[in-house]
Amino acid sequence: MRKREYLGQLELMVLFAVMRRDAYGVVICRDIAEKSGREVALASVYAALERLERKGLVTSSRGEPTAERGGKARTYFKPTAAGVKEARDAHGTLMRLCRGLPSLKVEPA
Amino acid sequence: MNTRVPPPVAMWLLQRLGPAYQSEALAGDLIEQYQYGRSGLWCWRQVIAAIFSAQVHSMRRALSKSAVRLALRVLTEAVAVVALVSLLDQSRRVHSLQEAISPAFGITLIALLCAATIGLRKLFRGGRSARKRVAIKGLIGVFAVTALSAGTLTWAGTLNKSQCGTQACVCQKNVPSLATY
Repeated sequence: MRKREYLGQLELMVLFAVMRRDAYGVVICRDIAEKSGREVALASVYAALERLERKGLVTSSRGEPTAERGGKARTYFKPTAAGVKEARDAHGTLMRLCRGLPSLKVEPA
Repeated sequence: MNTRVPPPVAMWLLQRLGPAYQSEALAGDLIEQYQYGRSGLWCWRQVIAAIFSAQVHSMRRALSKSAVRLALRVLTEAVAVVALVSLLDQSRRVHSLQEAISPAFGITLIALLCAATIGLRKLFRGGRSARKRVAIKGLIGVFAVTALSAGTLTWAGTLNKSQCGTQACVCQKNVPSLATY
């Protein structure tokens, strides 16, 4: 049986952010900053995306180059079926772990 | 449209030393954010983080690669030395080719072939300069092995002709069996 590789916190956050439509570097960064209150460097996001892509959890596609980006194209990211499953599993595990913890005041899902 | 241009030196450094993965997209994202009001300091921070991350990543990769290469080299050389010593020992103990062909001789030959295969794989995987270096090393190795083997065989032949039966001969014929005691 293949050893399962668990995702790190940043990888998970990036994977959840990628699940929104038209996700590319800037949008992913902004999403993480808004939801977690943590400023993340673009390079860290791309490093996490590289790891996710290598694990087969996301795919990338090039958009059209635009003038506002100095003629450089955007790269859009989408989760694969395995990525969606991984995100669902991670979400379920976290919810089960948090359930019944009085200090967190989390209602059961 | 606002036409702010991010610090050119930072962009140049990013292009030269930044990560290879999605480098164009990363540069485009930086330009886009700068256009929407981010400061030059923010831009520099992002570039430094990108360069640092890329360098750490490549250093880690190079270290693991060189560790594997070193282990492979030590293993190959150890196998070659052990095989050569075994062959020399075998040639000292036997007097004819029929005697030499034994399971130990076969295993030694297989070990030598394995070492040669690993060496050849390394030779064809490396670049042009690496191939040249490995080829020269290989030629020196072949010369050394041939010279040593020829010398040993000549010496064994001399032993066979003149010294078999004397105290200098170490072949099995000279070892007294337990029954004689």
